[in-house]
Amino acid sequence: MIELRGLSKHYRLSGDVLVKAVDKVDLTVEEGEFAMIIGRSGSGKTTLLSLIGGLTKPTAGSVHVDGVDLWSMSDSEQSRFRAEKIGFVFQIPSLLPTLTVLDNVKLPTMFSRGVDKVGEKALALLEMVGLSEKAHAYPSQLSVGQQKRVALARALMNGPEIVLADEPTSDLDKATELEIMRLIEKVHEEGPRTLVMVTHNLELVNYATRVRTMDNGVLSKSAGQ
Amino acid sequence: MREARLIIRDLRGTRFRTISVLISVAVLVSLFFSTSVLEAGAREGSLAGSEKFGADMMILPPILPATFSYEYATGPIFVVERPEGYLNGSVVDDLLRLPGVAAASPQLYVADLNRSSTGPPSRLVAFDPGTDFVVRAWLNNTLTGLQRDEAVAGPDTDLSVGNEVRYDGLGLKVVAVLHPTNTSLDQTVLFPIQAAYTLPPLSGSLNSAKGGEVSAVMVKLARGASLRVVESEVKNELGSFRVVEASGLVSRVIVDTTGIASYELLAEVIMAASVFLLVALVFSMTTNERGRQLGVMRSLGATRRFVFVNVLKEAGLVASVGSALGLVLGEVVVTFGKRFLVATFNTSLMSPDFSDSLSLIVRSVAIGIITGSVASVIPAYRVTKRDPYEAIRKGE
Repeated sequence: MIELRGLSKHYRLSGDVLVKAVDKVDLTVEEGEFAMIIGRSGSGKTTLLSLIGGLTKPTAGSVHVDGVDLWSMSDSEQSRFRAEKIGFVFQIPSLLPTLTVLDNVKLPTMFSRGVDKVGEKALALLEMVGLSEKAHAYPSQLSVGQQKRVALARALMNGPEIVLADEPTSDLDKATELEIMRLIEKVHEEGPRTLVMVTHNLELVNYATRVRTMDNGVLSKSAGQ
Repeated sequence: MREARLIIRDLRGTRFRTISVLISVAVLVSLFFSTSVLEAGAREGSLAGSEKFGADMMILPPILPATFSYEYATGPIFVVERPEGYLNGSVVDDLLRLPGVAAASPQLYVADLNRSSTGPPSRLVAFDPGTDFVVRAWLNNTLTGLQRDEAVAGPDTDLSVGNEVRYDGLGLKVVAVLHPTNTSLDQTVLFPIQAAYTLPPLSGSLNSAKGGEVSAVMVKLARGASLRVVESEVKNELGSFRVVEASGLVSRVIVDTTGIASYELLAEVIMAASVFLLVALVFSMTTNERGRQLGVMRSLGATRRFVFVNVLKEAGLVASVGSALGLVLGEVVVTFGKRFLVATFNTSLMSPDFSDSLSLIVRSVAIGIITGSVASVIPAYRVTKRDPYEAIRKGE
């Protein structure tokens, strides 16, 4: 279970302008839920996702995952937590350009303990996302949609309980968008995994079990599903 | 997925940056290595050359007015030229104990040689090959050991390698001929003093030394030592020996060499600082470029320490390869540098011995690796302090 209480992230820009990227957010995501946060560009969705994953420190408030305060952990504890419990899918796939697709998928195992049969598992994940034949290709040889599928496979490599997906369907045509969403749905259902996805695309709300909207860093009450 | 593979893939994927750092480190190492080798070679050559100036002073028995003929050394001192009496051989050890004395080697005047009526007069002198520093310089230091039945001959003795010199039952085979010195050394045949002590005393020759007695001791002063002070020490501490002085050329040569070495050291420090800044700049740019990549790795579970060490390992690997290349490049510079210096300045350069060479190699490689690694510490530290979220967003 993910619990956010009074979570805020404020920036001070030059000229003492205060930007409230995320402001006093309260949110509970139950285990196995597929929560979707909808909002326009710049509404603070990505910052919120990063706060949940411990990629940036909140200005105020707390993030509890399964009852553990993320920011009471040391750097190494937090890193292990990210490696073993969380899978990130970024808006830009962010694959390492110098590694093959297969090596990119294997990469998270470098930071995690106890992942067996790494090669087989990575190939199975590539099979799942339909890219096993591209295992030895480099990211630059793939389309953006294919790169996003590889990024999804990478996020699942360590068997995380939580997947955080940031605009996984942005910049994709309708057919590829559908492919990716079916994969995400599968990831959610087969896990079962807790999934938090942020998007600006209102057409995707039907995939989620809970939808919230975000505007100017403030999370609205439940917008229904 | 292993870290080493990640590092190698990253280095291969960023060829321009990798090659830039490789070249920088290689240039630093090659310059350090080549200047060090050339400097050591010049120093060795200079010292060998300074030995060609002969001894700084010659210690003779107390003055015997009737026979004494040395007043001042009008030229270099290489060899005792005539019998002036005898000294106890223990004076060599006494001399070596005096401050300012770097080396002392005994010589024993044995006899005049009259090999032919037409040839120039020659003399037979015994010396100690173990402590000698004046004769070997004229053999280009090639003669490593001299047996009791072997001798070296001056170029004006009309002797060649393989000739035999016979004297009072002693058979000496000439194994080397000295380079010309234009001094009395050219008319001298030298053989081991140990063999001289086997000659029967008072055998009718000029040699009437008892075992262990010597005619003179050649003395080389330590760097910076004063001729006057050492002469005074000899007289105060050892007794009324006659001291014959040579010129002060040796110390001048050493001072000059030291001066050149100081300038070279300064140039190397400037070079190392420049390379340090260059490598730091390149790695700073690299970590900025790789900000998103390192941010992603943090999101996947990499600790700050992992990222820090990863950047350092990359730098260390590049610096190691660069250092190895630098040694090869340095050896090429040494080869051509030697030819250039010898041809231009008409000087002699000698190669450092094995232990010196090994020490120079280790120091050169260490400088390359340390410079490359330390220069990447600040960029590596900065990147670990960066928020992963910020690193990822900045790269978008």
